[in-house]
Amino acid sequence: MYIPIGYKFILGILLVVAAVAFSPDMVIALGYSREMTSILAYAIALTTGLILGWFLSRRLSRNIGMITDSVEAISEGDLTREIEARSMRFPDETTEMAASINLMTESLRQLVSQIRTASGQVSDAVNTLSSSTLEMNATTEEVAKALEQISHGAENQAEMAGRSSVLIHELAVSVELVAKRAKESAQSARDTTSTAQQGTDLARQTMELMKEFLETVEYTGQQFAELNGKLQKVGKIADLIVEIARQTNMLALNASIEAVRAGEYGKGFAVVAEEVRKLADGTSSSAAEILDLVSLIKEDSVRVRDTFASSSRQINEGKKKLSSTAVAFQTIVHTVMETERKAESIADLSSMQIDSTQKVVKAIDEISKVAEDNAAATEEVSAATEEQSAAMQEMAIASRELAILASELLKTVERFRVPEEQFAYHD
Amino acid sequence: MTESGRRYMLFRVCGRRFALDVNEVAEISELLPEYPIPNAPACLRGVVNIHGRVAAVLDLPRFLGDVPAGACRSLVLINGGGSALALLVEQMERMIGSADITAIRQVEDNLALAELVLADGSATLLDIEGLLSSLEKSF
Repeated sequence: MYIPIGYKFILGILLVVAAVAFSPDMVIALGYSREMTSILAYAIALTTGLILGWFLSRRLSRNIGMITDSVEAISEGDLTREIEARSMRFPDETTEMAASINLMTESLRQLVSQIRTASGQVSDAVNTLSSSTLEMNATTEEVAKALEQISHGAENQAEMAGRSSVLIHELAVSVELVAKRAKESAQSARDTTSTAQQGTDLARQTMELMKEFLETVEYTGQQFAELNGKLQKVGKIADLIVEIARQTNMLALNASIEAVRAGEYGKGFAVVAEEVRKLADGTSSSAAEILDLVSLIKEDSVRVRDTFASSSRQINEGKKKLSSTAVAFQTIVHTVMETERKAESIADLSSMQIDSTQKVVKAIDEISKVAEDNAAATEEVSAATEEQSAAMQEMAIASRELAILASELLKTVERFRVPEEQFAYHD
Repeated sequence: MTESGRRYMLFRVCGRRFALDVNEVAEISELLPEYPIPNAPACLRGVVNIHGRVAAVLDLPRFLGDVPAGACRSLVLINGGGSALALLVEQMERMIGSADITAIRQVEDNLALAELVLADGSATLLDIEGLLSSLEKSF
């Protein structure tokens, strides 16, 4: 039964008062003197008071001492103890106080344990955070380098795009020149076609002229053959003249012989015979010259005939070659027409290429602009990364400070001793 | 050997020029059909009939140079006694007089009387007697 300490004191006082009140009567009954009786009555009342006081204060002092020891131990950080209050028939405030202190001790143990665990976890987390921060810092630095490279690459890309744009512009100019040249080539091909057509016509006309010339040559050859025949007749006549002259010479000689034989009478005849002989001799010489001339003419005619034959062969060869030339001209015409068609095709394709090139120029300009934007954005990202790196470094510093705080906290709570089984956290 | 007023007949044989006294020349003739003489020397090609006179044809180129006659085109009929001799010559030239002869050289040849020097060269004056003697010796 719970009895507060105050009630226990009141009850003891009441018992002492009752002993003082009732002990004289009991002593009187014993028959002692008055004085003795008074002394005994006082002695009994005092003894009763002392017994009750001792009885009441013994438990109270013991409990309060245990509580005091426990509180002192707690104040020194020892949370391992518990107040082992003896069971009392009449519990009082000290019993409750002991239970409350035990409960507080248990709560403190749990708190210290939780703080230790939390501190260890915080320390681990801080370590992990620190390493993560370092990794992130390294990663951020790599990202910064990569961004720097990207930025550099973007700048190069922009520069290359600019150069490409210039080159494409030059290419466009070249393509335009190609188109112009292709048109000029087409015009030249048309001119060549016309020229080749004229060449074909000229070759045909030349063939006709050569045919006429060949016919003329053949006719001339025939006439020359006739002339040669006539020359042969002249030669025969000259031979005959030579023979006649020779015979005349011989007759003149015979006449001269007869004149000599006639003596003085034959002198005049001898003169005539000599003149005849001279005439015959001259005739023979002239006929011989004629024969020589005929022979020379024959030789010349042979050469002329050979020349005519050679010329005829050459003309025939020329006709064949001219015919081949005409065919070649026709082939040239076809080829040049094909060339003209291809040149026009090249011109059309070049025009299309110019359009495409202009589009490519526009696209490259856009690429250049995008590359410049990318470079600017990359620089911004790089700046942000640097800021992030700085923040990471600050975070690392904060983590180290947090780790220090966790360590100090752990060091602080380590002052409190708790049972090992209650300290659940292990490194 | 030569006398003033004499005339000489010039002709060519084997590229050389010869001369005969016109008095020893009976006639000059074209080549005529020849009739071979049996067992005669090769230089005697045969006999011909010149205007009724039968004459033996002496191949003068062969006789002089022992070479076959080339382009001989004339016969020179020699005046003789009963038998006539026709000389086969290549070409007759002309008749010359004493005035045409600038010099006469003596020669050591049985067939030649002298060497007649003319304005356009020289000519060997044939010795018909020596020729006939030499011909007779060849039989």
